[in-house]
Amino acid sequence: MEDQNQVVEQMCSGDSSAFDILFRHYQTKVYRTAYALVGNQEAASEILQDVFIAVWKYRSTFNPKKGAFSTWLHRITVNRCQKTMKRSSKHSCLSIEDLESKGIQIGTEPRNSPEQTSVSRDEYHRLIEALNQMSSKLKTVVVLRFFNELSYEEIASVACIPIGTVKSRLNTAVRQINQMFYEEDKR
Amino acid sequence: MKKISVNMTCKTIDKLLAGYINQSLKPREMTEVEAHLKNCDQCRQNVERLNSCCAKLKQSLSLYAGDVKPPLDDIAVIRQKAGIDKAESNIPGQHSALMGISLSFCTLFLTFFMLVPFLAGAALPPPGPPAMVNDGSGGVYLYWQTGGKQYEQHIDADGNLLWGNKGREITGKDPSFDIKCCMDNAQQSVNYFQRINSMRFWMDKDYSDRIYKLYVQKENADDNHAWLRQKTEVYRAPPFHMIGYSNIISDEQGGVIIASRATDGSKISSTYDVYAIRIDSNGDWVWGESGVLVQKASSAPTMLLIAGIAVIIASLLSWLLWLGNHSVKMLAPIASLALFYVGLRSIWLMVRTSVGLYTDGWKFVLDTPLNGAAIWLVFISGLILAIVWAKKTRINQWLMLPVFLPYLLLAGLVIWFNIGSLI
Repeated sequence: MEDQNQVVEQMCSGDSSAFDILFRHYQTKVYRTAYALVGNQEAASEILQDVFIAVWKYRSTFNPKKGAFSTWLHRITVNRCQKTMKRSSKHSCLSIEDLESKGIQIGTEPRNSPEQTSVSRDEYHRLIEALNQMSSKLKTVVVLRFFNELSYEEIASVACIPIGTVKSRLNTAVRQINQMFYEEDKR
Repeated sequence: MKKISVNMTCKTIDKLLAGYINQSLKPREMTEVEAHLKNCDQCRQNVERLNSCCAKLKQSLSLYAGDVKPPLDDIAVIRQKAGIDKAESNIPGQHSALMGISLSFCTLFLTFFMLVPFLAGAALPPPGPPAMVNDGSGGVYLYWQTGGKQYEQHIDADGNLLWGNKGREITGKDPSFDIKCCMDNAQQSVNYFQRINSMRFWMDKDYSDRIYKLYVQKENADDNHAWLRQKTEVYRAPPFHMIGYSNIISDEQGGVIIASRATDGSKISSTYDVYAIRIDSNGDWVWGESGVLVQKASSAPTMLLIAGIAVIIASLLSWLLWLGNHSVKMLAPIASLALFYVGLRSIWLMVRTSVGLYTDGWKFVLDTPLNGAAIWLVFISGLILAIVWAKKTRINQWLMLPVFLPYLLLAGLVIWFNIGSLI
C-alpha cells in the first residue's frame, strides 16, 4: 500500500475511501488472526466486521505517536476475540478432514529426523488440540508470536501487558504444549 | 557425585529451556544454559524437541488459519453497519451533538442575561449612596463603604471637597458603627415621594426610555399649586434597579442636598459614579448641574463584560467543536479553558462581592431562577461533556473533573441564592 501513514491519516479525518483501502489491505490478516484464536469461520467473520466498525467509530482516538496502525488493529482484534472466547467456553477447531477438503495434504507418519519439521496429520491434530485446551491469555500470546510473528514488544503493546509478562506467558505456553505433545507421543 | 550434580542442574535448566529457545532469558541465564548444554546430551535433546515442537506448532497454525479467506461482501456490510453510507463522516454521534447543542444554548442564554444589562446601559449596581449628615452651614458630611473599607468626606457650602478627592478612610472606628447599615437605611429615604424644605421628590417611570427618573420640584411659597421650577430629572435608574438609590437631606439653609448615582444610561463603566447635588431655597443647583463627584464607580461591570465575552467564545467554540468537523477537535482544550476562565472569574467576582467590594454585584446577575436554571444546565452539561470527551479521547475522566469543579461549586452557590430569593 502506498504511504500507509497518509492513508491512515485520511481515514482518521473521515475519508471513507481511505477506510476501504485499509480494509482491503488488512481484512485477511485480521480474519486469519481471529480464526486462529476462535477457531470458527462464522465467529471470525463477525469479529472482522466488529473490528472494522470499531476502527471507523474510534478512528479519532488513534494516535500514530503511540504506535503503528497495525498494532492498534491487532489490539482491537485481540480484545474482540477474547470477548468471544470468554462467551463460548468451548472452542471448536479445524479437523484434518477440513484441511483435506481445502486441498491441503499432510503426511500421516511422524518424521523423527530432527531437521525435518514437517508436521504429520496426527501431530497437527495433537498440537491444535493442545492449543485449544489453553487459557485464552496463553493462546493469544502463542498466536501473536507463532502465527502473526510479532516481536515481544509488539505483543506487549497489542495485549496491553508488560514485556516480562509476554515472555513468561510464552514460556509457560511452550512448556505446556511441549508436555502435551510428547506425553501423547509416549502413549 | 558428579552425576547427581548434573541431574540437579538438569532439573533447574529444564525450567529455563522454553525461555532459552524463545530467546527471552536474561544474558546470565543464557550463558549458564549454553554452558550446561555443551556437556549435557539429555538437555540438548530436550532443546531439539522443544525447537521441533515450536516449529511444528508454527506450521500447524499456518495450516490451521493461514489459508482461510474472509467473506467477500463484508465491506458493504461493514460500511452499512458503521454508518458510512448513511451519514456524512464529519457529524459527531447523536448524543455528543445533543450535548454540544444544549451546552451552547445554555452558554448563549447565560451570556444573554449577563450582557443585556450592559447593552441596555444598566451595569452593576454600586453600593448604595453615602449616608449624610449636614454640617449646619450648608455643607455635608458623607459616609460610605467600598472595597471592605469605610470612607468619609466633607463638602462645604460652596461644593469644595475638604478631605481629598476620594475622601478619607475611617480608621480606629467603633465596631458597632456600621456604615453599610447607615447607607442601606439612608437608601430607603427616597421612595416614591418625599418632601423636605418645600421641595418634593418623586420617582417616575419613563416608559419610552424604560428607565426610572428621580424628579424634584420646588413649591411656590405663595401658591401651593404653582411650581417655582419645572420638574427636573435628577438621575436615571436602569429597569432592573427600580428605585431607592438616592439619599436626600436638608441643607438647613432652606435647600436640600442629594447624594445620588448619576448615569446617562448608555455607558458600561463609570456610569455609577456617586455625585452630591445641592439645590438651594430658590431652586438653583448651587454645585453645578452635575454636582460634586464623591465616589467613583467600581470596575466590576467591565470585568463581568470580559467574563461574558469569554462565555460567548466558549459557546461558539463548542458549536464548532460539536457541529463542525473533526479538524477543529484541537479546539476542545481552548473551549474548556475559556469555560474554566469564566468559572474562575465568576468565583473571583463572588469572593470580592462577599468582602464588600461589589455589593449585590453577583446577585444582580444571577439571582433570578431563570439565570440559575441556565447556569445549572451549563454546569451539568459541561460536566457530562467533559466525561464524554475524556472517554472519547481516552483521557482519564477524573482528570477533567478539577476543570469543572468550580462550576459545581458555583452552581451550588447560585442555587442557594435562588432558593433564598424564591423563599
